[in-house]
Amino acid sequence: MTGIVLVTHNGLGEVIRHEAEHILGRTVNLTTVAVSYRADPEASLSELRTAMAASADAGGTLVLTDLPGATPHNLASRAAVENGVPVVSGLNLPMLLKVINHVDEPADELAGRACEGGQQGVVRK
Amino acid sequence: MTRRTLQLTNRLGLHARAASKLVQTASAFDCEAWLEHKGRRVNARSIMGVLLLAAPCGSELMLETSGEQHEEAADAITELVENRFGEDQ
Repeated sequence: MTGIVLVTHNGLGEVIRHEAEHILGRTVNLTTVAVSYRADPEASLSELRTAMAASADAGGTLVLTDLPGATPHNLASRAAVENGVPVVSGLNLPMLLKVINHVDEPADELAGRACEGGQQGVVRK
Repeated sequence: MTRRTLQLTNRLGLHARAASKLVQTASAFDCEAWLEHKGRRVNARSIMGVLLLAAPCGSELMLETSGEQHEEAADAITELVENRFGEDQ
């Protein structure tokens, strides 16, 4: 089992978690960290380190962020690299559903699933 | 191996929550499970696979299960679909 941490702009992580739980019909064990535009980066970093440590399961921790290059992603990457935690950006519902479905896999493999699921959800009709 | 044709009769078709229930049902058995719709074949134990079928009400799906519990899995999935995924309409 791998612990999942969603690091997003403000409340996006909680909203996407809520929708995933509605679809799956059950609560999902994951941690969300909302990074505000106005937050002090050092305080956010500290919150992220705590969230990653607290979420770690036998398979480790996987961090999913919403936007590469944005502050939530950059701070999450800084905190993650200290602990060798994989970070995948571009969080969307397909990515999250895929990750939840394969949460028994270790963090590195799960990071691959996240990329796969996120991309599978982009379909042009 | 079991092969069956299933008809979707619930109003919303194979929408997200229905797909999730189908995947949970298929995953509860020791078997492989595949669904086919309009020439597209997906793993019935993969939520993104099932969602990407985008099958509306009235669609026919071909279900194929194989492995140790293929009959039990096919029965459970058939029952779920026939019960309109527990939905009223």
